[in-house]
Amino acid sequence: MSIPSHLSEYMSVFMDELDEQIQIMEEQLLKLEAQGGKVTIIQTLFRAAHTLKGSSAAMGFDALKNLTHGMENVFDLIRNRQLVVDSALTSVLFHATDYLKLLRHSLLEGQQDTVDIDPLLVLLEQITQQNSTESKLAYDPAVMAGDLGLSELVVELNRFQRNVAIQAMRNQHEVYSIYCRVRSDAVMKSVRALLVYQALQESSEVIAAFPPVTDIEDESKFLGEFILVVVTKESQQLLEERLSEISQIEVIHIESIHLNNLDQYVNEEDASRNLSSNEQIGKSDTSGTGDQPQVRRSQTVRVDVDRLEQLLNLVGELIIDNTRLHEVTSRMMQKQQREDSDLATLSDIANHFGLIISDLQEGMMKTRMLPIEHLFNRFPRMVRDMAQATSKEIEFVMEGKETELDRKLIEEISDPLIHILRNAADHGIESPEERVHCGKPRAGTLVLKAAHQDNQIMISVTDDGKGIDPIKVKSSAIRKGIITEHEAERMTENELQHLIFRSGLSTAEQVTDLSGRGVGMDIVRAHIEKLNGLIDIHSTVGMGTSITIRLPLTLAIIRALMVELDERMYAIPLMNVVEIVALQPNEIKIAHGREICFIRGNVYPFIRLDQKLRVASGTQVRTQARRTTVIIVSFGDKQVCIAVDRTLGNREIVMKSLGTYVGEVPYISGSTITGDGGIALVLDVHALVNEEGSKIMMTTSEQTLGMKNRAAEVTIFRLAQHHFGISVHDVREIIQVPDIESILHSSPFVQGMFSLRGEYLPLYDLHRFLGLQRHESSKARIIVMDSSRGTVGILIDQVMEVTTLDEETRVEDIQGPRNASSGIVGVYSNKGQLVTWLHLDDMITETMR
Amino acid sequence: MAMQQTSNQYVEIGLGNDRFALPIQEIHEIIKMQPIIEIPNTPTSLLGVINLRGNVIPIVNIHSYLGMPKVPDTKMNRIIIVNYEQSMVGIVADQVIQVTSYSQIEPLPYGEQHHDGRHANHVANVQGVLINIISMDQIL
Repeated sequence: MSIPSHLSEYMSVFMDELDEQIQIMEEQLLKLEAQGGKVTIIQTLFRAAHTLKGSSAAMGFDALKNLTHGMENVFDLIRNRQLVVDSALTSVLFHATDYLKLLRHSLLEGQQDTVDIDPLLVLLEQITQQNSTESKLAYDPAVMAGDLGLSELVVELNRFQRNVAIQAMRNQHEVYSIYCRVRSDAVMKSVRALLVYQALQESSEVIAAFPPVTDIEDESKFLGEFILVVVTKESQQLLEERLSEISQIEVIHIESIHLNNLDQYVNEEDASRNLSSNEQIGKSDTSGTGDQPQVRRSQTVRVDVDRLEQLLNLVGELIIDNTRLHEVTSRMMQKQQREDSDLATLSDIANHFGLIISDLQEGMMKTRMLPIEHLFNRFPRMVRDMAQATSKEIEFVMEGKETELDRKLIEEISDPLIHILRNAADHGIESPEERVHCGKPRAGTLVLKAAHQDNQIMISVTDDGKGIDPIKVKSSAIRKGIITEHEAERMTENELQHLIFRSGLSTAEQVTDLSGRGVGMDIVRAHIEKLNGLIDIHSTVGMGTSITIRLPLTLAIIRALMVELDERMYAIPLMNVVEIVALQPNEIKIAHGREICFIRGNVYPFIRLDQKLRVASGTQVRTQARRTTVIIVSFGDKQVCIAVDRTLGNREIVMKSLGTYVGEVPYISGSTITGDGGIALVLDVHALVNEEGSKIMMTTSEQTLGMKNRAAEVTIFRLAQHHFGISVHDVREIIQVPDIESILHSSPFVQGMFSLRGEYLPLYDLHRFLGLQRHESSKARIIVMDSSRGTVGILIDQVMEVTTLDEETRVEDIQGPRNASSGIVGVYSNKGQLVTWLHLDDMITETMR
Repeated sequence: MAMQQTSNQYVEIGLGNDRFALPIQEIHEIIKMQPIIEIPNTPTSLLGVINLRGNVIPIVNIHSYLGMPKVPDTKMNRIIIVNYEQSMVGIVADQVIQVTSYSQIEPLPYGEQHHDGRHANHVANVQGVLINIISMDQIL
């Protein structure tokens, strides 16, 4: 059966309502399960089922109607205390909502009745049959109406209505009295009647209704027949055709009212009663269909997301043009010395234009924002199901549902969140017995929280379950060859826990329906990182696990500080810019092999952007006694200084992705079109800052501590004029430089491949990575070493010696916010030379970023 | 195979000393050379990006993909914008020779198995001159 055309326009309204009511049902069912059959809950459930039954019947969706009818009966029994709420019952009801969703889905796909609801109907039927047959019959209005004969409906216009009719006739309008009867076996008669009412209102004005509209709207009072008096310009035939399109209307009889027979329809005495009915009609205009009070629905327009995106793109173009307009105007203003009134006007217009555009942009951005509630509301049901499936007791708490974020992000984080929640419910929270045994409350607590935190969205999932056991992770990771035992030794507990984000690792002893297949957290992490987000985990064995996701409010249009470097323009998102400082050369110091700078007594890591991006720059200029322009940027609680050639002021930019072909680029998050039609790259402040920040933890905590305990033998080698060391354990052999075969499409740090006894190995050149100059030399060698990426070669300039480095020879470091980059163990002094001890494995990993 | 269907028109371009042909339906447009913005820390196979009427289009170093040295820029250089997956990429051709169709198109004997044959599995034979037919999907 296809959807009748005249109903299709109601379709979207209906789908909205369906969505909303299913949502309400689920919420209330959860409450029902938790709090038992409270009157208010049952009432709401009953109303939801009832509303749906009515509207789906009106739309002619029988499966939906039957299902909701069955549910309604059950709710009715609960309401009348003839049925006790137990878990079996709620399960069936939950099941029923699932079917509603299935039905909804099949409707969305344009099909009907493809879902077999019969088994469920039987279930519902059984429940009702067992307890009572009377109440069902007593309630069903269809049955009721069937018993009653036709009532005598009479048209009785009051004086006011009569005047309206006369006025209309004088204005060449037609007045009709329309009698309709809804088929006696139709469900939701009043909705049918209202469909008639609405159909008539399209072309006519309804001036009176018998019985009064309030009675028609009330399913329990409405008996299936009614008379409407309408004023219209349309012919009787046209009206008849229009009404006959409405299904389930049995009889339509239209009488024409004219001046001659008007008095038959008028009852002077009963004027006051009818007057009130007239008022009711007036009011009902705004209330729309439905026999029940309308569920609060904010006035909304549904817009296709694509269309919204398109508009946003257009706003983006406007912003670019606006920037250009401003540039041109200000240039003209500078050229024209004389007062030029046209120019002044142009400038005014440009200013006003700018204001409007910024308002427009703000408005557009807001249309993309949704409260995270839209996503969160799906979870209570899910968690409940998971708890049931695993026989656990879970108390699910949600906080910060009102947090708004970009609708795109809401869609994107749905799957990762589901995954994390599942993990928590499945692996995190223990069974009630186990919990009691550990002295915890029977029910585990699962907290889902969202909040805004300095220009980021923070979403966390916290459980009080058994936590992630680093020992288990370690053995699993070693067994699966994700890390070597040697590596595992050096890892902190937190680092071990972070291993769950690597692919192929699952500590679950057995695969369950919910999770534990060893794919998952790595995909979650990849997904979050794709959104420029961060995922972090903190877990204490026996106490629970907390997973935090941080997402930037990646909005397509942002304000950015434009900077120049190597005659190229780069954009730094203004929300990350703390301040711009000019530094004297003596304020930049070298500590621990890396540069730091002092600003008002604070120490900041100092990043030369040219070196990070490996572009040429005015470095020479800066080394002279000139001030260096430095931008302090922050991300989260970490800050770094970025040295650039100069700043160019801030402006509105439209973020453009570099596209899938280019993919991820280190330190670059996107691009934007500049006012002059050029392209500026947008710096990935997050990556820059985060790279520096995360290292503090690593070097200060475990790695250096580990080193303290054992003085290690180190091979010292030279790259350019600097001395570096690596642990002798890491060195497999040192060979002369053989022929190097260059390979295409490789990392910029891979020089090529070389053959070692028939095996091809990649050759890494760290000169560029460390920002050093390489000179051809006969002393050059290749260190062959085992890394986490297999055996690799490292090109070095000269092998110096093998010696012992220990903490005694370690150079004191200044406690700055950062003291080493990833891959640097520390700086040591050795026979008057500073040696930077490298952890090449980390460094190679870093080059692959 | 994909090469033989629909339009049999090709845009013939010169890369180094060789001639290549791109199926015309893969080509979005051909524009004059314009400044290419390099992106730091990217492989040499990516020359950079250009602004094509508000769209950021990556420009691929087709020479490196085909394993040939890049020749110096001349006035004959053109950027060819080709459809690639859902978006577009550009390649720099040393010159655009003609739009033509070929009467004789043959699959290469070794097909896709050969490690060099990945880039062109058909050649057009124009009086003994072989023209490699390339498709972006195969190259990138």
